Amino acid sequence: MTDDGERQLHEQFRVLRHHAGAGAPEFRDVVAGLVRRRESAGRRRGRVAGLAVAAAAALLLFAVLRPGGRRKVLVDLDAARWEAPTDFLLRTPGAELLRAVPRLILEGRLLP
Amino acid sequence: MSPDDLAAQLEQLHAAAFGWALSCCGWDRSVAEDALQSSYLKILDGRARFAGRSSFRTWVFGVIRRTAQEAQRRALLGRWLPFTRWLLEPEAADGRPDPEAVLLRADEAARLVRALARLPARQREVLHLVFYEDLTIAEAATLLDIALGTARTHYERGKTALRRLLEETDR
Repeated sequence: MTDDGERQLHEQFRVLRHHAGAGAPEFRDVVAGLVRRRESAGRRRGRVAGLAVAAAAALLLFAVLRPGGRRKVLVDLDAARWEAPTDFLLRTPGAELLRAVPRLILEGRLLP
Repeated sequence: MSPDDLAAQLEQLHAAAFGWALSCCGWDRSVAEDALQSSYLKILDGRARFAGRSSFRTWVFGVIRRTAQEAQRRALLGRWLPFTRWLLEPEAADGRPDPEAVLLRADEAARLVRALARLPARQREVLHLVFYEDLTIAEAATLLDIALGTARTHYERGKTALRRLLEETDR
């Protein structure tokens, strides 16, 4: 870029700075706004805390007062029997031998 | 630095800081004012501390830049979730004239703002810092947390692109 082009850019930015500066808020107004802002931040924190408490209370109330009270048992667990689809894999040949106590007979006598 | 010293230094920088806040917020006055006020609040409340690693001005501009990014994220969130405005946003701005409207009255300035808006963010930031805020490219690099060579590249490419955009609007 030529020096002339750069000078032109400087001039255009100077104009921009002039116009932006004309619309700038006064420093003291901004600082005065900080006080309001601190207060509103406090109120905002209060609002968030209030909302959190209200939400927790609502959840608690819902849990306690929901229709039907305790959850109904829809399945009679005592009567039901559930078997996993892979249970057959656990059935090994000769497994019934492990369920009975073997009787050992030595020389015609039943051992205790 | 005492709060009074901080306030005095901020007052000296105020006009430049407002210009930088406008640039960081896409020349949206209300968002820029919000960002500027939040930045002052952070500085005066001690949530942002000047460690002396750069000039005071560079540091303040860095705080404004980060705060502006937060403000823009909040504005975006507010647009998508209107309820969050009630929780997150500060009170509405007063009835002072909108500088964007003031700017738009000045045709040349408005043309420059429009052309700047079409530049990539980094180029726009470097050009603003150098031409508007009279920072050196090295200071701009420190503020934007980028290498000096990178800042120089953004500066040169930005200047060329900006000239081209301004010429386009001349035609």
